[in-house]
Amino acid sequence: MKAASLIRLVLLLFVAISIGAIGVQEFHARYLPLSATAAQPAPPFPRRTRVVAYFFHANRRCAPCVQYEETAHEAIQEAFPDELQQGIVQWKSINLASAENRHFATEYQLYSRTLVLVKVRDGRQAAYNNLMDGWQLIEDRAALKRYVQSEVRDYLKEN
Amino acid sequence: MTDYWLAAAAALWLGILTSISPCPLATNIAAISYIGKRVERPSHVLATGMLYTIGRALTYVVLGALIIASAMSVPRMANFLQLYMNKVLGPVLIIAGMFLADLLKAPSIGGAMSTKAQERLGKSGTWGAVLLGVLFALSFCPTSAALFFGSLIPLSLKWQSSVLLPSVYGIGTAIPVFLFATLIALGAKSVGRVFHRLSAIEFWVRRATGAVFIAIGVYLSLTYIFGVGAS
Repeated sequence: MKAASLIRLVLLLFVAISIGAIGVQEFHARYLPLSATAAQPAPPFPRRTRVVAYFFHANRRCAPCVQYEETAHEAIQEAFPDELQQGIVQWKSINLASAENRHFATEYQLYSRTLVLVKVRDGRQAAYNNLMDGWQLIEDRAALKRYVQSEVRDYLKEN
Repeated sequence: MTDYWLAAAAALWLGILTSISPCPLATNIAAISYIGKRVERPSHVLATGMLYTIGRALTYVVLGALIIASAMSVPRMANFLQLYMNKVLGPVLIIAGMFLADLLKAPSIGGAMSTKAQERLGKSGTWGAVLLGVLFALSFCPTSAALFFGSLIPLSLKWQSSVLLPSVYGIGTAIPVFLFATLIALGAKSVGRVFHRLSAIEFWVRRATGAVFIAIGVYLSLTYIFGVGAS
């Protein structure tokens, strides 16, 4: 009987702390100032167009999400090593759960973890492509790589 | 017309795919143990499974209708549900599990509860399956969000189907859970008959269901609220 009371107390305490933590996180997200992000040095632009590959994730990364991210990153590293070094292609992993990144969700119409390619022309965003179809290729690593590489190549064509 | 039925078949397949993908595994285990907990009465398992399916289907119909009929922003709704529902689900499952394991009791008004009221409360265990279906359907994970918002909604928009396709999808998400729960319940019933211990098995299955709910609730809270295991 005493054990049951103790378990009851511990669980109710855990629930109370969990609910409190949700409240604190929400307060932080809404009312605390955004963390200042260090200005990144502009990469050299030997060409007019560059491509930024954003992989959007959350705090918890499910196995298929990690698989998508790793495969896409590898695909870009294998096909565009020189472009990555020159800053013509950039890879960025973004946590959508961070308050300062939530604007990406409406900006790029995000409804799940995904890879978004952004074409930047003369320093301005010219177009973007949400590669949600990658989820249908998640079990076929080679096909997913080909898909990502082909989409990046399409954006780079217009140089 | 054939094309429309093909779209319905696609919706059903998308639902099954959602259910068998690894990310809703924790909630599926909770649902299976809840549906199959009354091992002595297969009709009860069937009714609970059907109510769970109705809960899921209704939720997707309402979500689909909200998106299709109104200009509601898909990204906003999808991100809101993924951000908050998974956080809320942990504490809710712990409390539900405590009731199932008899660690908490529903308060009775005015001291003793009437027999009728107690009977009604017992029956609400079955109806609770609808609530469970609604709750689990709203707890989107990356794969289910991609399949629902990315594949089912465009399909429903194409066919202007705000009821049939989302409800077929909901049925698809519940089918594997329903099947597993029925098989487990029938297996447990056979074991109980062999050993003439049906009521004892029933007693322990109910407590085990409570323990599963609590364990999954703690796991979800640690993962989604406290970021344990997040990379």
